Parts: sequence; structure tokens; C-alpha cells
Amino acid sequence: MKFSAFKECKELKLGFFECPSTLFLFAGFITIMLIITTFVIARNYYSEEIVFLLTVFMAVVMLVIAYFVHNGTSKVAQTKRILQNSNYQLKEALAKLKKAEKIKEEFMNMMIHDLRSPLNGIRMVSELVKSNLTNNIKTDIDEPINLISGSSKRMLAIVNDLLDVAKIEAGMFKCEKKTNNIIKLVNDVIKYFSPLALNKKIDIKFIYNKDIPEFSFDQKKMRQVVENLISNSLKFTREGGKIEVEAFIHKKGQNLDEEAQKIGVNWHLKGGDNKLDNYERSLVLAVTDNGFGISLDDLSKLFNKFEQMGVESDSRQKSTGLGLVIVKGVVEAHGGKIGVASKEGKGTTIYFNLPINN
Amino acid sequence: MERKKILVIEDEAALLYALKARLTVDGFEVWTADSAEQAREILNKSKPDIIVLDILLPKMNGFDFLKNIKNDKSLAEIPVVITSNLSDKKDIEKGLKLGAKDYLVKTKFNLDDFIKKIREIINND
Repeated sequence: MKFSAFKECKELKLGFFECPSTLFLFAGFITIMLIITTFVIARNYYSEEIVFLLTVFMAVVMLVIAYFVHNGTSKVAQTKRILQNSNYQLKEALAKLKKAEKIKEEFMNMMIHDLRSPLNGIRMVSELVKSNLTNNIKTDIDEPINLISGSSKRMLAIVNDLLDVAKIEAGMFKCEKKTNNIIKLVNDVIKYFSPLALNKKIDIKFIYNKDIPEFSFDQKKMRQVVENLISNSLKFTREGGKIEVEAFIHKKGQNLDEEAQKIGVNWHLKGGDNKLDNYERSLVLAVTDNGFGISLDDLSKLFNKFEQMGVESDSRQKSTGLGLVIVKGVVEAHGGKIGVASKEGKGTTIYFNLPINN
Repeated sequence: MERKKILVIEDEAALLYALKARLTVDGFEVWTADSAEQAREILNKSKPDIIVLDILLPKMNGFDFLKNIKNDKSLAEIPVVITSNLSDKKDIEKGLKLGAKDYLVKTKFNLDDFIKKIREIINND
């Protein structure tokens, strides 16, 4: 009898008479005691042969009983183990369901906040201006107009994101491709974010190969992709951190990590897919930060709608979590592939490729 | 007569502007905060006569903030009016259960209703 059997009984919280091991030992003890008693009593009345036969008979009977008891209790233990496993699985499924419900509730609250708040702001400011005019109260008109304009723009951006996601999900997302310059586009986006980056003391660098040609892509949508990626990095990078945007030509079969290192960038490729073999020749664009990073569990959910990452953002503005869904949708609508690599506490690289036809 | 002091906690800049402007015209001394954390800093220094609290705020939400101030003996007596975009019955019940004097759903009130409600609470207090 192995000691692990006792340990198993303890883990399964089986009682003394439910545990095959303890019961088997108990039955064995009783058997030996009965054999000894039979032997001691019987030898006073019967001949040695009969006493011997009687003892053997008793031993066999007790062994048979012990065998059946063992079998029975094993089945009890097995059933109990199955029930405990099912119970554990049920609890796990329930926890997952609760988590999914919580994520949806948080998303809904975020939507309610992001859509209703600016709309209420616009309504109240308009009401105030109207009431001031009616009551001849002289107030500065620039500030309310700027506030109305700011709130409208913010709300429009969210409505546009929601419509884009709806189009992506309905398979109606179309790209209007024209020959464009990706380097200029990235430089423009970095310039657009430079005041915010300066404010957070984050250095944004753009490293690229000089031989990148102009090629065909949707300028407006691609700007949205680069904006979303840099904006995310800014949000999830601490003050004083750094962001590197890289662009280079990738040939099928080449290792992305090595290529990135050639231009002096260390990607966070551990755990990531470092192959983009969907085209013979493509442009790779990557945004790397040394921010909070993403846990392995969160990595798999990164491009899901509703999902917010577990890390706490530095930003005061909560996001709807739609940005990366749109990034993936736009990249895939261009025929590209997107990947992510990250290390918690070290940073994240999000990279994608676009086909170059010329 | 001394002006009543009101702390408005609201992260939507336009709404905060409108509430502040209207309350000022109506004779209140208005303090503003765009987060629960900023409001806490204000409350550490001085106490208002009434607090107007939004729920969906960055970082700490309004429910948790309300719970905190109701657990703080020096602040627990200050009446709190919730103004929120959350309009579900369970959210309203939660706010009132946590000790709010009233729960105003933002989409359902205008500036006149708002002032009326604030005056009503201050007068009853």
C-alpha cells in the first residue's frame, strides 16, 4: 500500500470508511486478530490439522471480504473524485461567466460615459448660453463654444470608432488605396503626438530604412492605425519612458527579431510570433514601448472587443478598448498580418506588415 | 447672507462649466474637481455645505468615493447629490443605499431642475 494513497484520501477529504487504504488496513488488522483468536480457541478442542484448516479457511474468508470492501470503497472514492472534478469545472465556468459579464458591464458603462457625457455637456452649455442671453447676463462666449466644440469632436471620434467596428464585424470595411508615403505619414503622426509626449516626458523615436518605397495603402485608415498604436503606447508608458516606431522591408523567411536588432531596436518578442511570411516582400511597421507590458493571459485577448487590459493606465482618459480592434481590422483589410509581443513590466511591441507591390 | 459652498465633482469639462456657471449666478460659492482624488484633496482642507457627485469618474468611481466619505465621521454629514449617466434602477438604489440624498439622471434634468433640487436639499438639511 503506497503512502500516496493515504495522501489522496486526505486531499479528497474521504472519511475513514470511505478511504480504500485505511479500510484495507483495518480489514487486514481484524483478519489477523480473528485468525489468532480462532487459532487460540480452536486448538483446545480440535486436532492440529482441523485447527490449521479452520485458520486457513478464516483467512481466505476475511481476504475475500477485504477484497470486496476494497473494491466498493474504491468506487466510492472514484465517484467522489469525479464529482469533485465536475464541481471544480463548474466553479471555473461560473467564474469565467462572471468575469465576462463584468467585462461587458464595464464596457457598457464606458460607452454610456463616453457617449452621454459629452452630449449632456453640450446640452447643458447650450442651455446656459441660451438662458444667459434671455436674462441679459453678459458672459464670455469663447469658452462655452470651445467646450461644445471639444465635446462634439470627442463624441464624434467614439461614434466613428463604433461604426468602424460594426463595419469590420459585418465584413463591410473597405480600403481606398492610393500610392502614398508611409514615412511621411508616421512622421506626421509623431509630430501630432509630440506635445502630449513632451508633457509625459516620453521620447518618441522613428527608426526606418531609407529604401522604403512609396506603395499603395489607404492613407486615412493607416493614419488611424498609427495614431491608435502610438496613443496606446503613450497611455501605457510611464513618465520618462520611450517609444520607438520602426519601419523596414521584410523578406519572407527572415527573422523579425534579428531585423529589428539590425536597426538598433530590441523588440519584446518572447512569447510572440516572430514570423510574417504572408508575402515575399512586405513593409513591417512596429511600435515598441518600455511601458507596463501585457501579461500572457491578456495578450490573447488584446484584439477582442470589450476587453480592457489588466494594467492600470496612466492616462486620466479611460478608453473604449475599440482602438486595437480597428487596427487589426484595417491591417487585415489591407491584406496584412498583425502580431504582438510583450513582457510584463518591460514593454510591448505591436507589429504588422503590409504588402508592397512595386 | 453667507454664500453656500458647493463642491461639484464632474469629469466632463463642458458639463462642469455649465453647472459651475449656473450655480455661481444663483449665489453659490462653487468648488470644482474632475476626479475623486482631486475632490478628496479639497475635502482635506475645507468642508462644503453640499457635494454634487458624478459616478463614472477616472480611477476611483463615485460609488467608492461616496462610501469613503460616509465612513469618514468628519464628512459623513455633508449631503451628497449624485448626478450620473447611469440610469439603471440598481445603480440608483445603490447610490441611495450608500447615503446619497438624491440621484439625478443626467439625461433627465435641466439646469433649472438641478438648481431647484440643490436648493431643496440645502433648505431641508
